[in-house]
Amino acid sequence: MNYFRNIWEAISSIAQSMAVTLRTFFTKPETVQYPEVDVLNPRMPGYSGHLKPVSERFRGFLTVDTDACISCHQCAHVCPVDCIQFESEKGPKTTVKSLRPDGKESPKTRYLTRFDIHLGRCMYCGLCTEVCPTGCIHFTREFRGAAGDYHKLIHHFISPEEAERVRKMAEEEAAKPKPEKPAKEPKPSEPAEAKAEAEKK
Amino acid sequence: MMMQEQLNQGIHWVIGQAPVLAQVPEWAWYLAWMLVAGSVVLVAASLVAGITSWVERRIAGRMQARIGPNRVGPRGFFQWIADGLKSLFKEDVTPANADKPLFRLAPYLVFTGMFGAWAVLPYSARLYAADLNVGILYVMAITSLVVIGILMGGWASGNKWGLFGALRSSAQIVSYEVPAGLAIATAVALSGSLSLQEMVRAQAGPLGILGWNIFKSPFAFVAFFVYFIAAVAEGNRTPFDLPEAESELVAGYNTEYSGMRFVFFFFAEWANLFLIGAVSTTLFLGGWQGPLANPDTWWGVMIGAGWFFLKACFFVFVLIWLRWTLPRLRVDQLMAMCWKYLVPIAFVCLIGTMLWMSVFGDRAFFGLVAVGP
Amino acid sequence: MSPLQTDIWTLNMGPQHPSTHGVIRFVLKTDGEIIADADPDVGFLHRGLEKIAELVPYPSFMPYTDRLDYLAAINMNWAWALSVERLAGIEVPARAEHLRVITAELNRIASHLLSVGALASDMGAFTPFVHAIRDRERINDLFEELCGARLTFNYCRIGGVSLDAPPGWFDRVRGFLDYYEPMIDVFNRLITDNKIFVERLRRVAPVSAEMAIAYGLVGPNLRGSGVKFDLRKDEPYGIYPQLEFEVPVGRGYRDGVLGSCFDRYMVRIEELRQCIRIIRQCLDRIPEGEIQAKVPKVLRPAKGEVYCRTEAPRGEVGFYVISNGEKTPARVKIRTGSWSAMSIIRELSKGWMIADLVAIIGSLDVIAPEVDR
Repeated sequence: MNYFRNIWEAISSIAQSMAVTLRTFFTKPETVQYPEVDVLNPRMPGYSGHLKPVSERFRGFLTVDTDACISCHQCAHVCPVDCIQFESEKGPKTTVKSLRPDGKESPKTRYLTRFDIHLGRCMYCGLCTEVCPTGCIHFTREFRGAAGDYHKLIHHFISPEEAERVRKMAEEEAAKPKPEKPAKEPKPSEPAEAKAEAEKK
Repeated sequence: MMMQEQLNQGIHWVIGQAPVLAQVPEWAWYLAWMLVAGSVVLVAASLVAGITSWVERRIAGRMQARIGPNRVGPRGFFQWIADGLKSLFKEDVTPANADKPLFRLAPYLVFTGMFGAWAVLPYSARLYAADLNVGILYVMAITSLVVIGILMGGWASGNKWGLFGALRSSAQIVSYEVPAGLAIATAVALSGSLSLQEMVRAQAGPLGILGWNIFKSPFAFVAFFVYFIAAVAEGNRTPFDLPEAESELVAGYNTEYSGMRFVFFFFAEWANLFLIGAVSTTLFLGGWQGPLANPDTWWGVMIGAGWFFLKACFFVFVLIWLRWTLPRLRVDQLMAMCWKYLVPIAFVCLIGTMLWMSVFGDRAFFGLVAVGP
Repeated sequence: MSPLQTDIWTLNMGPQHPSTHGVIRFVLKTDGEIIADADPDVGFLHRGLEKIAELVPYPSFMPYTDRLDYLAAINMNWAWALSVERLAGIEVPARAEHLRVITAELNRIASHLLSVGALASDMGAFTPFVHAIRDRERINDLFEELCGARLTFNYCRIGGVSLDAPPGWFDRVRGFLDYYEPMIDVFNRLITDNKIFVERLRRVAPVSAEMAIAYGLVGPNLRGSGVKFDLRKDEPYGIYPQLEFEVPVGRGYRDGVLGSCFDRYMVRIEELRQCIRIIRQCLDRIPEGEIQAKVPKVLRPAKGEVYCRTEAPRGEVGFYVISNGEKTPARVKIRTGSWSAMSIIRELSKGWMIADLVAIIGSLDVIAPEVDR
């Protein structure tokens, strides 16, 4: 009797499986025809699948708003793979408003002469974007960055002209009368740490 | 693809145009004619194989909620041409410890074994390359050449995985010849002849449908499924695709093949899909018989060819459907299924059909409809 | 006449193979199809994660835990966060705990989908794999909206989670659960009930409960052998004590042997349903509040050591962390479920066929990054 039961089970289960496949045959495919579809801003009239554009929080390539950077080195310290390298020079003291919705102000005394992010080493983990006090380093939604040369993966955010300009400004600042300098030194550390504490909350 | 008298008429017409050709001996005409007919069948079979590969990829895509190839040509139709051209340009790699003559010969054997059967298929009442009076026996014999080709390919690769695939395949194909042969014997018994054209003619009936062998008795109905399963196993298709089990043996007997040689193996497999469909319809589903397929009129003949093609394509779809749905059987389960299930059932079908015929004679549709004299 | 002798073949199921899940290598000694010995060779994906942990600060190690098992990244994140929280005595806010559970269970669904799909594709059925991936893509979309990544999420932080759910996300999760629950039945009709699939797995490589415990199997592998042990119930963490769910256990499904490949497979299928249940409960009771506790910017846990284990989809994931009071750990030892599963394969596969070895690896859900770290 087992013999006939086996035959019956085989036939019925195979027919069931084939029914599922046939059902899928007649449903609309889920394929998204990249690159015809602009996945950053898809416009697909009549499309009935589940595609959404690349989401708002998508961790694409990093970018830096160099004017808002206060050179606090938090991002470079927290990066697990050391993909951020930068150098800065001392300059006149200003404040920078955070790019985040809270709009906190941070003091800025250092100006960038070099800011390189190695996007080949980057893990796209987002830790740098979280510790930045001003929110100047943040993700874009861009993901199309294939390059033929490995060194093209290092993105430079400060052009040589800009670096030259900052160096000149730093020289001018250094040439100013001395009594101003010692008063400045303790201030940057306290507010920066207090800002970082507030950031953690 | 014409009958003997028409061939003679054609030869006389050609000689009439150019009298100098009257000196050509008779055997040369027949040789030339065979080459022409063979080439036409070969080209047709290759086209069918290529198009079947495109159809398979599109259908497989849709069954998996995705589109198949759609970039090369309208709906990806030229994908197979692109793949074939690409493999022509590939480096011809022969492994260092391969048995070179056998390695080179194996794809041709598989190819020949597959395409040789296309010569006797009854595409229509007037459309066929050859009508052997032992047609179906010839088909069984020539497709067995594939076993030798696969064994050669696996052994000569010098690769243990290839040898594995070859051994599994030879065991599988040889075993499944038995139920296939028994089911074919059932169809032969119902039709009374080994010739494929005769078998189709014997399936004439009302509406062109009720006379089909599959409807002649419940035993013949079951015999059809036995034959179909055995043919799927012969063709190394899932659920019996152990010899080329991609997830176990990399690619089985064709692991070491690249470029054009690899394409030969695969063309043979895709053409075999159509062949399985064609032989199944010829044996059990009435071949070119169908509504309005009256073999006496020329348009009836064309419609008959259409029916044949349609039925074979339906089977191609079923084979693709099976492949992309079912997992594969393990080798001992496969053997058990053949010897413990298919062979006894095929025997029962054969004997049952003979008993049925002795009671009901030549009546169609489960003995309900009388067929003309 | 001398008795017939067969030789033992040595075969290499190399790091590149379609069905070893990742880069693992076996040196097989087979007698025909029957395996005499399957010697595993690991280390192809060793990246020195435990050494890297000694070089980066505690919070910075979080993205590395993603890569520990990239199919179940949230669970790995959570295990690390839990270890450091226990070491440093940090309490996690309630909303963060709920978010952790929701994302971890979603990730469990995704991981199990891939696992059962991969097992089906190893058995030769390619369509269930694609169907599973189709559903997994929706989970990936949900995660992309939540934290911006589709595979390596880096979502948990020491003291909570990194981002709160965007508006409407919880409704979308509910929508996914409503869509997916009936799809489990469709998937079962497609492959789980398929007789060929069941026959391939239901009596293959049974692992007794004693053997499972002796080899240190964990997770669905252990539960498939009938041992009802789930860290979420037996050593609960987070808010699991407040949630109601069952722990599926193997019992010789479909008239098979207890602890067979099919049991392990069925445990994963049943766990899918339980995950949906857990997520629905969390969605109903998630409170408002903070998502991250106050943690010093430079975390220096007190001197000490802790071993903390959580239930990941592939079993127990344990982090043994020794702290010297500095900002980087002194030593981290990672214990994963796939390592034990890999170690049992040698003993388990003796006497089974090569096709069964593929089933064993697939049903134990061994993946290379967990084995090699």
